[in-house]
Amino acid sequence: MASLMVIVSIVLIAVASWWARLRQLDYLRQVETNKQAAFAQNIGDSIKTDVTSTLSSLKLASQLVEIRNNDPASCLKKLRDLHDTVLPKLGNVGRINNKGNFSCSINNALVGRAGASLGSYIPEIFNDPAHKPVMSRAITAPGAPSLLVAIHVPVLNAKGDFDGTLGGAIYLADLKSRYLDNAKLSANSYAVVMDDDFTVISHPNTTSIGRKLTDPATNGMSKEDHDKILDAARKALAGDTQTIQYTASGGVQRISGLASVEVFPGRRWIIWVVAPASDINKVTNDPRTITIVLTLIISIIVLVALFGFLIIGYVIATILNPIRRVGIAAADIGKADFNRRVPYVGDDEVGQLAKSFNRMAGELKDYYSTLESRVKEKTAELAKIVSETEKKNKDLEKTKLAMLNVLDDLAVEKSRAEKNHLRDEAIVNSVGEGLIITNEYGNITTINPVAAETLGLKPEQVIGQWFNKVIIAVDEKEVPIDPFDRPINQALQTGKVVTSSKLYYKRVDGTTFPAFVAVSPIVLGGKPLGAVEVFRDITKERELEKAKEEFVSLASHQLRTPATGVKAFTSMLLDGYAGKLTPKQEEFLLKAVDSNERQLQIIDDMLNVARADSGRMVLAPEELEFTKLMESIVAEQKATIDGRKQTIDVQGVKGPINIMADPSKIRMVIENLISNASKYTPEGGKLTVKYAYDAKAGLTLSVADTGVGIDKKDLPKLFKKFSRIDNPLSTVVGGTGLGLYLAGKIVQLHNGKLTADSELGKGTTFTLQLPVSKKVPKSGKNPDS
Amino acid sequence: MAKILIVEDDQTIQQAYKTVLEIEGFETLVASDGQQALDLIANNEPDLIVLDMLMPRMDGLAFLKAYDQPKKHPKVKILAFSNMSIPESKQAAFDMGASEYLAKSNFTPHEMIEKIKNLVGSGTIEAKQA
Repeated sequence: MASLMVIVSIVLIAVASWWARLRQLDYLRQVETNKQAAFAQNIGDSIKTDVTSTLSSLKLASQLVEIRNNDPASCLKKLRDLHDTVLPKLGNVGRINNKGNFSCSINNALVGRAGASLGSYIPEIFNDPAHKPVMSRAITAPGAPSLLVAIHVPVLNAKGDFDGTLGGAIYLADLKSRYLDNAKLSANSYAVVMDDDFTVISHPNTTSIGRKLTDPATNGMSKEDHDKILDAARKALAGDTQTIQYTASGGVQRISGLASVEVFPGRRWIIWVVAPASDINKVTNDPRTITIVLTLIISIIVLVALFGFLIIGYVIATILNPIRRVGIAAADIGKADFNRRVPYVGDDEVGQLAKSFNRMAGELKDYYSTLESRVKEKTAELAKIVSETEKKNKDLEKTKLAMLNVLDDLAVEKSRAEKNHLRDEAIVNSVGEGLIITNEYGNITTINPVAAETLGLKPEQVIGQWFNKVIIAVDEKEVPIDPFDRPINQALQTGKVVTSSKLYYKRVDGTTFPAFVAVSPIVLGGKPLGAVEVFRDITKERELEKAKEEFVSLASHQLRTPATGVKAFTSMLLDGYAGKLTPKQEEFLLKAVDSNERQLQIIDDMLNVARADSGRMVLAPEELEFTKLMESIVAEQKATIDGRKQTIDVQGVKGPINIMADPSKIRMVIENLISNASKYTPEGGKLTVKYAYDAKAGLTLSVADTGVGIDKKDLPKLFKKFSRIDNPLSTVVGGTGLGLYLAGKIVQLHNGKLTADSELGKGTTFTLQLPVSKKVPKSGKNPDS
Repeated sequence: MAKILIVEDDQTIQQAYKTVLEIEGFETLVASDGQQALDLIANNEPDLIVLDMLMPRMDGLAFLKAYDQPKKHPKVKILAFSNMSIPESKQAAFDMGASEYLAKSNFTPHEMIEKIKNLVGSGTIEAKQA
């Protein structure tokens, strides 16, 4: 800091001294330049003094008798006398008479000449009523050695009237020698005198005399410099003394002083002193001036240095030291000594800084103590957590021990479960039918030896596999069954036991066999866990059935032929083809015909059943007018009904009902229903037949009787094959028990429904429903029974 | 006199029909199977054939096919009958020229005569119809 101050001080000092020197030089120059003005003034004053005294003298002399008398002889003498004594400055003295002519003059050449011939000044004084004294411009006069300026005063005669003038000439050449040369100007300086119209009336260079300063410069001086001089001259003429510096022709530097004096009342002359500029330097190089300057400089340096040190001291005391103290305090605070404070004095910036610093120190102290207390808090919390964790660990240990005990128990259970499992396995393996167990997804978990053998595969091939993938099921056309339709899926979906005798299983070798399949789902808590399937190769059963059917069919056919033969001839007899019959013969024959009819009926039934069972019952659906059919059937049955003294009430529709059905088969069904109704109703009972058709439900037919009725528990058996329900009338009625079975089958093939409702002792109602059919299938498959 | 061919393998039935037809005044021919029938009427066209559908050797359908009534014997009427209605053969029978299809067990010979008379008229009064 201090060194900086020193450097700054030195710089300042250097600048100051240089400036001082410049000012000094300027001052000296100015002084020197002003000298020229003083010179000019002096010269002017000298001239003025002389001219003024000359004028006074002339005025006095104009009162002399000799002058007034205008006597030529005495005039001249007087003039000479005057010139020697009181008018030394005049070059010539002369008397102009009241006619305006020189009456006498020292310069003889002028005698007799008109004053006007010399200039306008003489006429001027003559014409002026006041006849004030006049001064001419620079003029020439015969006999005069140089240009002159004439001064004339009026002469008054004894009466006091204007009587001409008395005057004299100031030879301008004298000016130079008398005043200018004696001016003690320095070498190479000179002076010029100019009239108030800037006509040069005196100049060291005589050729310049008579020229006007206002004329353009001809000596190579620049216009600016020339104007400068002219301007200064004008100002000087106005009374304002001037000093100027300019460049003359040839590049020479000049200094000038210009002053003017009133040499004559109303007339001023300008004195212009010209000096070379180098004169200044002469002065400034003057040892004395140099010494003065140096002393000045040194004293300035010392002063500034002193001042500088004072300032430095002040700054250090008031700014640097306090700041340094703050710095030290900050360092101490950095070492966590928060009690450190900075003393401060005053309210200035440094004081403010110190105050702020102290405040900060205080806040830091507070903050630090807050931190400390918080840390203590947290540490206490941590300790608590640690102890809690230790406690938890102890608990975990206990739990671990408990779990180990549980594991032991589990192990015991496991071995027990294993024993059970082995036992179950043994059971499964010893079952005589095919057994497959799957999980809830249908993946096989168990397969017993019978199943594997029947299917011709090894257990390891299927365990874990999806059942549908490894056990192929097809229909009788060898088309694979949709997995959704398979009993295992059905059981898993519905949670119910599902059986099927429609499937064919495909062995590994590609051959198929018909299977009876029963699946039971394993349900726990309402959710299926898996399924157990038992299946059996029913090829033999099928074959047996087929054989049975074929036998029945064949037998029926074989029976039919002779039965037909009996019918033919008995009817021929009855029809009279062998002649007229006796009543008794007819009676016997009718009985035979009756039995024969029954024979044929039974044979037909059996054949139909056989056909229905083997799926060979074929419908021949046609458009059938139902009303007409009903009427026909009822008409046919009427005989039987009337024979039993029963009534039949038919409630139908009048108009035609067109349905699609196999006429003979449907006829068979309805005939069966009505004849049953009649059969199982005692004599005198009532039959009610109702039928209706609507576009949505289709055809509905009901046959109700007032017969013995059927026990509700027997109703399900009604439509089964060979079902004969024990009732008092059954022995009388006869029949194969096939009728309802067939009727049910036929209705089923029509996609219809045949139901029965009954109450013991009250009667039975059979209801037939045929749907609105566009097409009744021609061939029916044998559905499960 | 109308000529009627009876094709029926059951002798009893055959006899029955023959008896009745003759009583009614028809001329009758009998065959026990289709082949025999064809041979019989090769050069002896009947007016009507009573055809049992179910026969050994050549059954009714085969006979019809061979006989080709629609094309070859358009004037001959055929009365087909069977033990039971077998719809396929029923339709086929009609297609192949049968005019009627009866269930044997449902019709007495007398009823059959009525049908025959409907087809060819009574034996004595109407001769071969054009």
